[in-house]
Amino acid sequence: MVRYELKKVFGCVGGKIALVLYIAVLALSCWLSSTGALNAEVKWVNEQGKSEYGPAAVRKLREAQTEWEGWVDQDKLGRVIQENQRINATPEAKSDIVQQSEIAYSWKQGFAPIRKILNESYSNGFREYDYYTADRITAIDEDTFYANREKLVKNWLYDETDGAYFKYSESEKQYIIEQYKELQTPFYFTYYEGWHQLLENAGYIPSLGILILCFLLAGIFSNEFKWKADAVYFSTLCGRNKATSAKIKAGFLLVTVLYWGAMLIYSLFTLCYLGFEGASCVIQWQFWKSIYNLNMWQAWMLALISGYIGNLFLSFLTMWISAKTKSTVFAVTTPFILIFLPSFLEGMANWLDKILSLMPSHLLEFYQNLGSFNILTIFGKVFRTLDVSIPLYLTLSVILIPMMYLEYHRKRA
Amino acid sequence: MDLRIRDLTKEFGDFKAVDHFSYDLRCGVYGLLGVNGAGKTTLMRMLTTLMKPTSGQIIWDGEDIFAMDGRYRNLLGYLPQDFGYYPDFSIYDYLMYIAALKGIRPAVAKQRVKELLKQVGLVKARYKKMKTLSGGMKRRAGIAQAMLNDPKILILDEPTAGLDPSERIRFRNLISELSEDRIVLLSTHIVSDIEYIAGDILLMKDGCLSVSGTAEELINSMPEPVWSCTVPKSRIDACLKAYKVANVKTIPVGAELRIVSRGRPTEDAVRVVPTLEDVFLCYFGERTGDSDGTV
Repeated sequence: MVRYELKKVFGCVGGKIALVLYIAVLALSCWLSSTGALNAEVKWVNEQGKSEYGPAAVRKLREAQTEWEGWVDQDKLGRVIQENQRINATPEAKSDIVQQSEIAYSWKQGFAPIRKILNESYSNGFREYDYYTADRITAIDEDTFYANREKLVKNWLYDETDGAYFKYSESEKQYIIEQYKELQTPFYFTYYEGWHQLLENAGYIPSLGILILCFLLAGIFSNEFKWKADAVYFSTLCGRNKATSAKIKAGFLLVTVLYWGAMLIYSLFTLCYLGFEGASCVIQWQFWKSIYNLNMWQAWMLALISGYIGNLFLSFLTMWISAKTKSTVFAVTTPFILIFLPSFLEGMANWLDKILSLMPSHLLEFYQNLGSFNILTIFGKVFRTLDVSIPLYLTLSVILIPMMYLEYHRKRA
Repeated sequence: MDLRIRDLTKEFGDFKAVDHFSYDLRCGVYGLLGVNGAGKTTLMRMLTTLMKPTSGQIIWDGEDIFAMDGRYRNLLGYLPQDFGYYPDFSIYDYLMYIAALKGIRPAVAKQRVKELLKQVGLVKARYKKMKTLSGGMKRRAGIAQAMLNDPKILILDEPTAGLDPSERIRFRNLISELSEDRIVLLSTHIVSDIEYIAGDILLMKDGCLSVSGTAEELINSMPEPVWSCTVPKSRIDACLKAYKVANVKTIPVGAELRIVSRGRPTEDAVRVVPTLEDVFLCYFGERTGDSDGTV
């Protein structure tokens, strides 16, 4: 019966087009991750200051950064500062000609990520970033380098002229500081572009894909009525029990297979193309200020699970609405509202932001949310919103299963 | 094997769609005849457990059908009036899916589908998509799905609606073939659909059972005789308004009318042998939509 339910979904032209679109989203994600077109471009600037792209560029970047591999301690930081100073002293770096500046940059590519977090650590304020901060540093101390992170966040949280002072309660401020303290230092550096791009572009499949999945699933219950097949369906032996279960199973299978299949292909493509190295690097290489102490591998696993739970919840919700209202249009509209509404309402009020931070759309773009400071106090205990929303939506997804069944089971023609 | 309908009533607000309907059905073909809105479909939906009655009972071999739940539906074959299907399924897929809904194991279903496709004459078209079929072919696929579980109770709601005359004859014969050892309840508002194949005919009016019996019994018990007369053109309208006119045949001198009336409509009117259509007109004449009583 599950096979026939899937056949109903994919048998029509709309279903086939939706499947093609889902594959297109996968292809788009793979392209974006391999080129870095929407964030940091994956490129290699050669000795002539010209940008190179493609597998050869990836190989050169990897080789250059592998030379700087290791713990980012006093010694490593000192070497980076020294090398940065040496390059800055060259005529190419001092030149106003773009190509000359690019040549100077090409010599910095090997330690560019370390240079980036130097900018973060020694910035003038928590919310500031100056690309040239690292160029002004002549000497460095390992302890200061890592301690600056905690110092800056404390200054930010207790600065009465900043909104954060009023936004977070004392216990929430302490919680944030505690998370900062718990971060293991020193960091380990190795080439991690594969994981960086993988995570940066990980939101497209869950976010765009769910719209397609909801379109496919919106009619799974209601189409019986639309096609006027309900009278025969409900007058059969299994129409009100096994066949209803088959619809739920088909929905679950469709979401699971398409989501995990696409994410697996996307992961393998990206990592095979850009490299598997760097899984153990902390996400602070990209999100210096993050309150989540995770390495790239852990972040990726959580992004996968979070995206899946978000997809599962929205799919089941669509199916439940389809069963409840007998309307495909209404069923397909709801996830759109849930996904896009938060972006219109965010920033209107602090309390509203806290509610919106729990919306399922945040699960779909898990990695981007690792950089946010969304925290909640529930019964006096402080939580990061992602720590709440993952179990919350998993529970709601499980609850929706009997709800769908009972709703449709009760239906008569 | 009997299906007893006891004092069955279905109300929608103040409107009684089925009003204290009682009847016993045993093996054979039953024709449920009534005008549109008489309550035939509501009655059938209750018989298929798609709708619960407001009061009354439907009993199968001594057990309430709603209490029997799946066990009752396992005995049921149903072709609804508004027969829906899955447009992108082939006939074969459609029948295999309905077989799965009916709890038939795939191996048995394959064999059964093969037999039924042959019986309804759809073997060659079995891989055609349902949405590409003609009205008659869809109805044949519909009867095949209803027969998949070899039902003890076969309920056909207006199965010939929208079919051309040759398809209707073909369909009628098919139902006749399939009616052995089961209860077949066939609703229609087209008299000729059931005239020759139904054992008992149930006339339903305003949700109630008006009269029942074999075609012969119904004809013999007609409360009004049937007349044939010739009238000039100038009197046709007056006759149409005054009597239940079963037929108007234009001839050079006026028209030959077939009239159901207690009294002789014209002096030259002669009594003729009534048909089931005359019975229908006799009972439903006022409800055929025209205030003048024509069918």
